[in-house]
Amino acid sequence: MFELTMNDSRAIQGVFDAVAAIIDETEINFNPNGISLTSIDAGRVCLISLNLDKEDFDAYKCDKEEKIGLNIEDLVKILKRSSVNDSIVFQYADTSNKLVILMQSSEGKKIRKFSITLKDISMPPIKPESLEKISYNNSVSLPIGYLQEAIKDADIYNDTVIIRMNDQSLVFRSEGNVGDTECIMDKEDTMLTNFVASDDAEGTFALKFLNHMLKVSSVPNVTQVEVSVSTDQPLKASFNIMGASSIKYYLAPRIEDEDEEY
Amino acid sequence: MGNSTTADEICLRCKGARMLCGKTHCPLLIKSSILKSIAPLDMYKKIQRDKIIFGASPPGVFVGRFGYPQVNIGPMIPINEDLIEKAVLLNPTVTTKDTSVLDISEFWYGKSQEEIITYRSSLARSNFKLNVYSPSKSTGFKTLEEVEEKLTLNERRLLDASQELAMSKISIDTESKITRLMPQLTMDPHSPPLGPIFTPETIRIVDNIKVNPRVDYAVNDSDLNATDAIFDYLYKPNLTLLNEDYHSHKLVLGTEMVRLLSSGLLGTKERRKIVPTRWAIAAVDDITSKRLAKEIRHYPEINQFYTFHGKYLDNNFVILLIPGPWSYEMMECWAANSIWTQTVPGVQNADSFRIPKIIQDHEMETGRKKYASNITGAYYAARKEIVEFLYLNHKQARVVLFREIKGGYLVPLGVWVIRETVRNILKDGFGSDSMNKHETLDDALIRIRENFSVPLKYWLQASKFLKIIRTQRTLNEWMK
Repeated sequence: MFELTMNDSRAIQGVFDAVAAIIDETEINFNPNGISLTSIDAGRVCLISLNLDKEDFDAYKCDKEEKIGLNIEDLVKILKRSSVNDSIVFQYADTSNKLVILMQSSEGKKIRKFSITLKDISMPPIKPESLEKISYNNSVSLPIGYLQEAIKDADIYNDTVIIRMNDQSLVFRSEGNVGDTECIMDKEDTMLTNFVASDDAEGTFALKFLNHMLKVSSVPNVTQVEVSVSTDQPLKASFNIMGASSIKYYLAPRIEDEDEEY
Repeated sequence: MGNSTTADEICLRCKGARMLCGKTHCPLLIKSSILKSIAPLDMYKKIQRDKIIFGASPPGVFVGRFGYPQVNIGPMIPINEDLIEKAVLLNPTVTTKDTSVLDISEFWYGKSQEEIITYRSSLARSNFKLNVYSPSKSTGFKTLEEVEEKLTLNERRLLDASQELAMSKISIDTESKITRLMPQLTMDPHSPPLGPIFTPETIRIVDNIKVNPRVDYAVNDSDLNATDAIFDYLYKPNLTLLNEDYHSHKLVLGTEMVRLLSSGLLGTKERRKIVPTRWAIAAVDDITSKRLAKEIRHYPEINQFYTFHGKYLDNNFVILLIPGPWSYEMMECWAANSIWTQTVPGVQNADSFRIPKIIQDHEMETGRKKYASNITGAYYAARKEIVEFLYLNHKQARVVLFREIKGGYLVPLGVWVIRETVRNILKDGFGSDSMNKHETLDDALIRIRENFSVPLKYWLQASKFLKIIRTQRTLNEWMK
């Protein structure tokens, strides 16, 4: 049984909107410390790991761990019905197979109640621990807007972007039939923080998934993204949200297209 | 991004539908419509004298798309008794009055182009105009209810007859007083060829129709939306049945669903509409396979590469199955001097077909939301059969369909050619004669070389999907 309240409806809506971009149904873990979710897209290219800390809720009551399966698309549809001033309550009783969502107006006079039927979800076997063990040689924290613009530029040329990082700069490069583009972010740029680079790293990544990640920017007050790259390793992008919570992504790289002869 | 938008491949992209060359009629289709002379002239003369058409409707209803929202709708009645006898002979399991083979494309696989054109040119379609445009509504189009309000008594009767025939399970004697009959044969890349047109004064259904209980249920439940009606009531319960089971009156075939949908008999009451047949064909293929694809996503993935090969009417197919989650690409190449790649005077196609032109559409694991505008209807027709095959074999896979069309495919006969050929290639499941197993993708791709005249490198260049799966690594590599 649990009951959690968050006064900022936009935050919770933004979080699940971002999750829905990657997966359509998953199991969510509600435990005494907060909510967590780890899942992977059907093509097994992008992993999302969400941690909502109980500190970021305005009220948090959960006596034991509950794993419940939900269709995230349906959940997002419901959350989209909330208005800015609503506070959102998640309620679950052990005996029911429904998650109840309450939307309460700030004056407290109007309450809307939604319920969503839980699903039995066969989760694909994943081992996020081994991803977390990867040690990255290069990482930097940059404004989300920087990443957004770099991706939009790259989108003109191709469906992938080459991300390169060395001790001088972080570079986004894309080439296609039209021509090519390069976006260079120098380490001296004051908007870049925690610039750590111990070798030259390079990887090619699908723009589609980078765009999905950027959905996190609809969560209020999220401005920075920490990007970690190492050659031949997945890209890691982490966003600190709300205060103590976070969303992390791992994105598998593409290999260079060898033009084999046939 | 899509394909290049230069003017040099307009026939291929248009296929007689979009009039990209600026002419009012497709010059290539006009050329092929000479085939109309297949129906004997005496018969036309007799009908034109008597002003009466009488015959067993397969049943059939056709809704035209030209001039939409002013649509032409009407029942189809056979005009050539000799041909019908021949049709019946080809299908000896049926009673003499059964003319279903004239309209049900599910029965046509394996027949020659001439046979199919004979069927179609002996099936006359009636035309009466209905305007479904509604300027006052936000959608712009009237629902069936609103259309019906404005009809004259005679129009009302014609529409009722069309709808009654659309529901019928059996061929049904139908009589029409006509004002004129125009001999012609129209080709369309989506719907089967269409025969002569008559303008009906009255149409009378002489016999009692027989309705499949499922159809009855779907039509009478006006709270059921069209997608659920088609998938849950008409399609899914019949999945394990064969096309041949049609005569056992249990099965509802795709052609029947198209008739119901296009004559405005499916959907919630306030949303029922008259839908041109061509659009309804794509809609039925899309609805059935989209929903079924959601179910196969929980099935185990295949663990080897498979190829299937087959051909029909100079349409050559290789179906490639790759281990992985359900996703799909279709590529199509009209070889030099096939219908859409011949040189047409006055149309800027010239010279551009020396390099093979391959068009493609694909969808990744999340499916697609936009219309497959390069391949169009054939994309959905093939997808329907592929998804059905995977569903019945309890597997999921990445699938690439290669189709190469050569000059022997004289006229476009409709997307049923693709649907039925793919169905036939896959009908024996894993382990059929047309199937090969491969250890690697490169090994599997050799099948293209063996069966196609267009070199493999062009197919690989054109494929967006193969490029993604050849280059995209998965997180599995780091999660061992």
